[in-house]
Amino acid sequence: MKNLSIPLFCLCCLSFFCLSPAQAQDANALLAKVKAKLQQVDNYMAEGEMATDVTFINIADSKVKVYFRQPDQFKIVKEDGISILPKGGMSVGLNSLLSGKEFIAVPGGYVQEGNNRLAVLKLLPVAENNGVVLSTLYVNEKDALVYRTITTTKDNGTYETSLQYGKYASWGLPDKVFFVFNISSYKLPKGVTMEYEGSKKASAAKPAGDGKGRVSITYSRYTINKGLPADLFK
Amino acid sequence: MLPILQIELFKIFKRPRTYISFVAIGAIVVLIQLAFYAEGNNYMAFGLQSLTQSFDIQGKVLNGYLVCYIILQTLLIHVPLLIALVAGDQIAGEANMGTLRLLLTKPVSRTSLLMAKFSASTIYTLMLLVWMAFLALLVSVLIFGTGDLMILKSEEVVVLNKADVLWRYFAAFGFAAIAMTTVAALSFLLSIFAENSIGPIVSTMSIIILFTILSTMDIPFFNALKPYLFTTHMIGWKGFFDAPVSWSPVLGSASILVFHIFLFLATSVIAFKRKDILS
Repeated sequence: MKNLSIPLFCLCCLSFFCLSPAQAQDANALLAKVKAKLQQVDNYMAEGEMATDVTFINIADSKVKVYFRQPDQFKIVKEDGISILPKGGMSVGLNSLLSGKEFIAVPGGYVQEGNNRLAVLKLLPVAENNGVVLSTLYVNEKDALVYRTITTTKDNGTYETSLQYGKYASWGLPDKVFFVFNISSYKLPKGVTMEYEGSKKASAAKPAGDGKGRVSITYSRYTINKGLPADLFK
Repeated sequence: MLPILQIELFKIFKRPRTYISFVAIGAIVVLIQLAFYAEGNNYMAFGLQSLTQSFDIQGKVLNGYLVCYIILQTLLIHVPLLIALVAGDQIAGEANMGTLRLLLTKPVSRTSLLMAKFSASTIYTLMLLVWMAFLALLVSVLIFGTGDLMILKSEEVVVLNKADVLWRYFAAFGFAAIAMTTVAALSFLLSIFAENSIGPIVSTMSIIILFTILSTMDIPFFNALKPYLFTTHMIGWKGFFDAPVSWSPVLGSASILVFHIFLFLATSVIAFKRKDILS
């Protein structure tokens, strides 16, 4: 057994030094493929329905318009109304997460999600001033579509995004985005005005939740590359 | 009873002091609207800073509906004083002027006279609320426009769709009418026992302030008392701004207030019928 251990160790070292660059090359190539797909879209306006599920935010599902413009301008607008999104909500749009930014891609193996075998890419931002610390993408290598992202930011915690594709898959644009973020550290300030006891009882009766907030956007229509005014994002 | 009611209404609206309430409400509402028009965005940024540290809020938060909500929240605490000013004067004022005994020589029962005076006080209260609704809601909407209504509570942030707000204001003003009529009934009851109107006005305000403090303090002993204080239920109008509306507590509060109105009024009738009128 002792005789076998030395050649086995050498084989491991050899495989590490020889195979790693090839895998890194694959990861960067896959990232480039994903970016190339996303860069087909210079700008878009999408219509969709947004649902917010945060224990302390009581807001009805609403129709929204989502605007994106290269490299990373992203805006969600509820016509004539109010929308509330977690800070760093740029992760809702994959384009705004990846476009115009340099990353070092590190391979993270493969995972099976449903019928999809997804390659795991760990992305480290090159720029020091990037708000993102680490992004993990779960990518289908065949069509270069990202099905899940986990993004850790410097200021706004960790976000997880799941994407479902349909008729706009060829543009790399999802039909549904499901966004999960951490809310356990957030506390609403105590109200300074008198509050109605009946309302307090109704709020207290609601389930406490799991410390996560969820926002989903189901897109019904995209208008792609038709141009968007810059002042829309001011 | 209608002719007596007309006479009582004439007496109320003949007095200049009746209009103090309308002017006061007008002045306060206009001042609040002016302040929001000039510095509203800074005020909103300050008020929402705890939320905007973690969330991006897009859209027109400062709109007519929100301004109306803030005005109601501010004013409905002070309006009882303006109501007591008239309701507390109904019997005590007559006694002070020495006209009560003369009034009772007319061929009208004491109960009818009381009912007419209370109805006149209630009409005055409703007119005051309509005036407040006109200024706070209609003028605010004209100045600031409409939009979704965002309300910050201790337990949650409620965002109501624009189309789902207006009926809530009508319901809230309806509820406020019941709450303010309760104040009028209390003031009216106290008016029976006084010889001048200062007593019932000050007593009404003292009771409301005391009960409101007890309702606000979060101390276990006082918490047990809260359901029995009518002031706890007077802010039930806020229940219409929950999503969905908690009908059971709101209707419960309205019922308790209506019960208080009948209780105060019945006590007034019994006390007045037994009272030896000397002035």
